[in-house]
Amino acid sequence: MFSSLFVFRGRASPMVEFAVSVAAAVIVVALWELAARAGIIAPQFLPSPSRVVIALWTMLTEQNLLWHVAVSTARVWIAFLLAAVMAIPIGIMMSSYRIVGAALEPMIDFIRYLPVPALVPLSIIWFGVGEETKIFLLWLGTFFQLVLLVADDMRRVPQEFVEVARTVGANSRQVMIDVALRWMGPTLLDNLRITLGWCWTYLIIAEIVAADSGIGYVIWTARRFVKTPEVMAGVVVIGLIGLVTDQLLRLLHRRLFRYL
Amino acid sequence: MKPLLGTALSAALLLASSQLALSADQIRILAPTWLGFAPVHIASDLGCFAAKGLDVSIKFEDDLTNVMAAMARGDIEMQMRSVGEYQGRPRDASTPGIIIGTIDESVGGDGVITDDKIKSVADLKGKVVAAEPNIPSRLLLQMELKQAGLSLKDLQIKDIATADTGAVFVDESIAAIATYEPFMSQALKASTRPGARMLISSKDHRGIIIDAIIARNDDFKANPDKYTRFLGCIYDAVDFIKAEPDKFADMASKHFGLTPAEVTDIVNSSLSYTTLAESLAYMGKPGGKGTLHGIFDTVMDLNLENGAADNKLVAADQIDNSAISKIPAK
Repeated sequence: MFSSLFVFRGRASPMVEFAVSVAAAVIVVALWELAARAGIIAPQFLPSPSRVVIALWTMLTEQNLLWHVAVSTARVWIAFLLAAVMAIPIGIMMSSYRIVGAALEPMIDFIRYLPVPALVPLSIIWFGVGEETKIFLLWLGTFFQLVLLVADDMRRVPQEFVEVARTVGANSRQVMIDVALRWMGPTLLDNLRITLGWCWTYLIIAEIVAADSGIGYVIWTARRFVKTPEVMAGVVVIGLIGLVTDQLLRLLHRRLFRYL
Repeated sequence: MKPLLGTALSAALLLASSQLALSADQIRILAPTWLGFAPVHIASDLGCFAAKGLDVSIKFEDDLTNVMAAMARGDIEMQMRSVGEYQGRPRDASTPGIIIGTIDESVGGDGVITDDKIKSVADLKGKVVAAEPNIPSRLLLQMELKQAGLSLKDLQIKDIATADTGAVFVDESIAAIATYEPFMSQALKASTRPGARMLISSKDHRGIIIDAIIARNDDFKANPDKYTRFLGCIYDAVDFIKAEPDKFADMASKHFGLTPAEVTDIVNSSLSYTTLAESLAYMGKPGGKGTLHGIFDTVMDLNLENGAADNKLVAADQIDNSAISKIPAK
């Protein structure tokens, strides 16, 4: 049952893989609990998982954590969808038309290396201290990475496929929809999944700007008062949201691309 | 279609006019995540702002540059911060902001921590000292160094984020850290360094680290009465805090994600809210100077010396006592 796990590129049943995932997580949490209880690291720096769970419960029942989660999720998804809606056509155009690629790629390459935190004061000057700045910062951390990934996805569509489609009389629109998008669809969804994760990593930067809501705000406030269990609980919540979202997108991937 | 368009336009105009009406008495505040500014939350919870026709909102923002950007853009009418930080770069005489009152002072909330290898400030000469730029405890360190015939240049200063105090204090190559609460107490509590203790405390330098209420000049000039009403509510809230400490702790805890016991502990060990009488003494009588003017100059000189500020600001131009002096006496 488990022997296939140790075979190079061997296959195991989904149940076995699930059991291994859970067991690995349990071992890590148990080691963490033991290390914390043994006092190896001061609780101000690393509280035990049990204290984190208690903090999480208090935040859920007394500090409107679910509301903050909803606010953060909405911000991330708005920024991410905005980035995707812009990046997908622009990335495709960059790979399909040399002039667009030549014009945009150097600029995008330059901007994507700019550190987002350094741009916070400028973004306040441009957009104020409301929701726009928070969405902009999340978008900034996502769009420029995604657009290049989309351009790469498009670039990898084999030229032979395009030529065969042209030979059988396909017009540009048909080549795009029936050949290119079908070919790049699986990797595009994978890249969207990965960049959605990146978008979440910018949450703290976005939600400490004139903050009064969101998980980033909750974590930052707890950090200010050295409430490490609450900080860890907030981080765990982000991790859990990421895990669930990732699994849902993987499921969508399997449903949409059954032919793989 | 036409009636629908008309209704929509009327609604838009009504909304716009109500927004205009609101904006006259609107005060949007950015302040660091600190209990020193809790009187704003308390005044709001007590209904004072609403009773005086004010629409007050407060958000947390720790980064001074972001606050200055927001004020320059006209997105906020007010900020709250220590006088020393207020003077920090890139402020010059034309930067928006004028001090119209005080809200609290540090009495133990800021300080320098060390271990038993350092017996006095003079022992820090040539040693590595960690501190975040432009924080109040750096000024305290600077003052004590001056008294010992030294300056910050005699130390090897490492810039850190104050939130990392506990982790940095583990490194014994760091002789001392200029920091603030609650990071200061937590670092001492977690430390295994022999003789870990406070070397300098703001408790011993009362009246130096003062959190000020800072208004945007153009709005203050246009609506001075709005700010008098606001300050009246703040000092009413301070009176309430002093009279009902338990109720205050309970009310404030909800705004800061703390328990009431944590609020009481932090407030008692770190700060003192300034009453109207104390604030009036700091701000001075109309046309005159209060004790804050002298403090402003002292802190300004320290900031210029340590490079936290690069423009000498004149206290009389940066402090306006006209609004606070109009608060009706009880």
